[in-house]
Amino acid sequence: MNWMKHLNGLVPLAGALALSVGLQSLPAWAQLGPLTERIKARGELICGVNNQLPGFGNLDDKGKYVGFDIDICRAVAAALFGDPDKVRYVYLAAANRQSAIQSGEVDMISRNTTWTLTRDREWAVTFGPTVYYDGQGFMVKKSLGVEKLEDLKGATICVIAGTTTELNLADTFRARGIPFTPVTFDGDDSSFNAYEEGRCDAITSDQSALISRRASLASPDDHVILPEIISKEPLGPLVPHGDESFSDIMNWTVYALFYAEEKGITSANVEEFLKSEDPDIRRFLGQEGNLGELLGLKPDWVVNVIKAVGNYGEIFDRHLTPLGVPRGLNQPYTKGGIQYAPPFR
Amino acid sequence: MTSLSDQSHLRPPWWRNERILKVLLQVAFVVAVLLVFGILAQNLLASMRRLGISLGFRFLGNSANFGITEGLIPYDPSESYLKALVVGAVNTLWLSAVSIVLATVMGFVLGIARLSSNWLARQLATVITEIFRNVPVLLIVIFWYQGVILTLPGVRNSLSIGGLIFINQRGVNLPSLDLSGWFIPALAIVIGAGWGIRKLLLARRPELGSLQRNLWISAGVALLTVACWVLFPEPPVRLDIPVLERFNFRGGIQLSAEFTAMMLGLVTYTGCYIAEVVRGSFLAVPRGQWEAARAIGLSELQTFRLVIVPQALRIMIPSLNTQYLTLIKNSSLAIAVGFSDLFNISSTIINQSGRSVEMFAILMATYLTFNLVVSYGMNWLNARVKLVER
Amino acid sequence: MPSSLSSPLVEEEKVLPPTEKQSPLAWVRRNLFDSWLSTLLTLVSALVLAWAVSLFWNWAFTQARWEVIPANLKIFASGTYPGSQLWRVWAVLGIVLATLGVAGGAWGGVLLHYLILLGAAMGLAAFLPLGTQSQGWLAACSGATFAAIALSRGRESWRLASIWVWALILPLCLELLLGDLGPNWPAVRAEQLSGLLLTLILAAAAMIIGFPIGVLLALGRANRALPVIRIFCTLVIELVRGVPLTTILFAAWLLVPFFLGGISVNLIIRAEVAFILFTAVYVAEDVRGGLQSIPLGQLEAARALGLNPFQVTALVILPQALRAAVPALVNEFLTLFKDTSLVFIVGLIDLLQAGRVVFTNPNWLGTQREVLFFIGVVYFICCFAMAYAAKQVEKALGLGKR
Repeated sequence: MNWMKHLNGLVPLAGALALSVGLQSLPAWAQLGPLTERIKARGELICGVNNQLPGFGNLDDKGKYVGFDIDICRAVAAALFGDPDKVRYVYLAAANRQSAIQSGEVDMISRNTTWTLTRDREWAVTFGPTVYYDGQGFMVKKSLGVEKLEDLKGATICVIAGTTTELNLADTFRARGIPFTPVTFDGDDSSFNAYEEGRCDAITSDQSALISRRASLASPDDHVILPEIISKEPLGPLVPHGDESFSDIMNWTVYALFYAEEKGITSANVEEFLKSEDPDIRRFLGQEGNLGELLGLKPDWVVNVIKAVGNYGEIFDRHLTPLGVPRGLNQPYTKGGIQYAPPFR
Repeated sequence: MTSLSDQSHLRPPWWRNERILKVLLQVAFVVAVLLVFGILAQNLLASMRRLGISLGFRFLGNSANFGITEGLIPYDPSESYLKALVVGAVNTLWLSAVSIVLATVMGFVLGIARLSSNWLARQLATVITEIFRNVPVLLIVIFWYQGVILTLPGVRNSLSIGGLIFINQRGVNLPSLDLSGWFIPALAIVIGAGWGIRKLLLARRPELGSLQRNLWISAGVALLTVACWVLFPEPPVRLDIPVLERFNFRGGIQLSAEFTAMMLGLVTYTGCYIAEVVRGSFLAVPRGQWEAARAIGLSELQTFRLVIVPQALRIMIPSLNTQYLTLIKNSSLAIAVGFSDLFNISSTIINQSGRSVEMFAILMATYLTFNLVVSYGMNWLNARVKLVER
Repeated sequence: MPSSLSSPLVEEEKVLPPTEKQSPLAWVRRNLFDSWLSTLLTLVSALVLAWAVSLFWNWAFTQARWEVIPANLKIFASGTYPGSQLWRVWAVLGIVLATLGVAGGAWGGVLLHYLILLGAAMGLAAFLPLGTQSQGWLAACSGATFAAIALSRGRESWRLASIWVWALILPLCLELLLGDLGPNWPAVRAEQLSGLLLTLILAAAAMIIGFPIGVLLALGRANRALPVIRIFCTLVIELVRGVPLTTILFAAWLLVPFFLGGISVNLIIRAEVAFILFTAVYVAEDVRGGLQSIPLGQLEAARALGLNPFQVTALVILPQALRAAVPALVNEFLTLFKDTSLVFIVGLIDLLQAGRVVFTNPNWLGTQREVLFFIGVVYFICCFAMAYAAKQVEKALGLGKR
């Protein structure tokens, strides 16, 4: 009965319990942590993502996940398996992220998630490098004539439940003494729909989300995004505590994307770079040294990653530039931004 | 049960002795249960250790930092998680209380309509109850929210009823009564005067009938009330009518779209179940009761009021209790439309603080308490009705 | 009010004495304009009816975009189940219908009527322009139903077998839905079960597994001889009944993984366990009601015949108690069927959530009424059919007549 394999929980509870006691007494693996081992044994990475934010994570018309955050998952899968398609995507509402990662529902989350100290500790997770430096903004209907936050006195504001934006909204308006009514929704779709239908006067979210969503409103020109940014929103992937080998793989995969852009390595020219004599690049691409081995990966893992998703700039240009999202802070440090990878050596 | 084996002189061996077997069975059961719970608890602690989180309720004192759309009691994001939970619990109770009252009214109207001799009313009531009883309550709630309320006119084109009540896609704005500092003195004067007039009339004009006497009293009270309004520097009661400001209505009572949708959903769903309870209870009063009451010369109204209703109520109360408890539990669906009830706020807290185990314990304890209180109240009512009848 | 209540026993089942023939006018007068109150009631009802019908008419025939329903039928029916593997769902539907057909033929009664109706409806639907594949499958399912009925019609000896065969059919169906069937038909992940398919699976599994557990809990609670087990059962029943299903689902989703110590159990199974638990405790209360209705004399008589406690319970008490509990049990199963819509709490996509997916899709914005109306009709048909069948069974058992 091979459906047992797929309904992996059909194991009777008693058996599961006995097994759990048994598992606890197994010795820890020398090199790879338990989570990495589990992912490798499973043959696919389970990635918690958004499916309602065009540009970052949504479903295309064939029902496939696409977007900036999705490509981060694909990059990690390429590093682990050499195949970017070995990912199973799980949609997570903002409010479900913490429970999904804590309970082991997903191996990692790449879902426009802001890195904060509380989340780091209370969710018991390790955040990877920030892949997108964002800030919280507001969108209002043009006809209301709102120009600054103070004009929103007494307004109803739509916000997504369980986000840092929900907290920043309360903080900022309290600090400035502006009365307002928040209305919370469980997802991007429901909150932007409610805003468009008129349930709220304004909607607040990450600036990038506002830009990408405004484009898909019925008449984008009737809405303005206020220039004011009220918070820092460093968005990045995250993995659960308890397996440093896996968080290292995530970290260095993202750094590889940054580093490749710095060095000008793209999915198109990576084959040529393999012939490079530059020891730094040879090390980076696994022609020399043992960087891959140190992470428990194949020597050419970076090549796989770059071939699969391209470098950081390529990912950005593929998903965010068409929506009109400027690079801003998200340039490499060499071009005036703050994206910076530690050395690969 | 054991008497048989006791009396027989052939004592069975111990492994066939029912008494010993029972004790052994229960001991084995207890051991098994303890073992399972022990393993589960150990697993929990191991998971907590692995993730580096600890158990405890001290986080409830931390500042919540998130806003709440609406609440009966004032709340500020700087207050604690505990306060936010209390706001949620009060919202749950408020939603449940309003819905229970309205659902009961609706249930009685529909239930009695289903017993009516009027064919059209009977059929209409039957169709309504059958429709709402055969679809999920969540569907009804979502329909009210997304199918009806959100498609109402915007806040600047509100439907207005007599300039007092405003209905729009953000909910319902009702006028409220504002009591000023002069309310208590006015009330004292009016009640005192009514009581004085009655005393006076009883002493001086004992020949008046009760109808005439009441007319006199009412006239006096009305006169004094008007006098209070005119003479006091501030009217004792003022009608606070909602006024449209730049973004929203202010003043009066505001029922948000989410609250209204939840309430309508719970009322229509539970109301139809209560209609069924009401119908069943009236049908369960034996027909002989009608006939007997008529035979001793009671009018139809008297029969209904004095004979049928008390008996039907008695049959009804346990089932009503079940319906009310179900309604309270169904109010936790508020999360589907974003009304800030206990469950919704708890899930926000879990998400912001990561304390799922503790919050689950709090949720369970709170709902169990609500249940116990309602059951206790209904049992008390049951006892009262029983006493009246016997 | 009292005059309208003068004949409160308008019960359908009552055999009324033959009445003299009435002219339609006399009927109208008697049933609609009996007194001033009745006249008022008629007018109010007529107004309400006219308002509701005109509102609905206006919406349904001038504003509604009904094309959203046929365009998304696949999503409603099976949600995110892979489109290339859809034949598996059809095959399972055919197998289930055929098995039911065998049972319907053997048992007759309301089950047979339903199956004939269902078979005929599918046969007719096969002529709708739904694409050749769907039409073919519809015709095949319809044919399988009728063939099975014809095969077993009147064979009473097949009755018991038609129940036991499910023990074989159910695993087969699961295998067909999810299994790895070769290179072209890879395994389907359990999370991809969604839409009406998920609703039906959740409800059916919770009924089938929850029922026996509920009976055991009820017996445990009614057992005065084993106080420890009695207390345990009472505690479980009251604790679970006291909290909302949303909370239990929430626990199954968030807390259970902590307690399993690193073993990952599929989310659908965890949600299903919550439903089973919930069904079991409510079934337990219904069965307890049935147990209480059994006179003590039955127990004493059975003991006097020399039956042991197990035999007393299994052969004498339980059959009578279950029979008495049939109406309450049916209500419970109806409630459960509707309550499966609460799986949205754990993020699974059942029929109702599939509807929400459709009307939040940018292409179909503003169709929430059409979608919710359609889903309501589907639920209504299922629930109403179940309730009607239960009434027939009740009648056949002669409940309330003794």
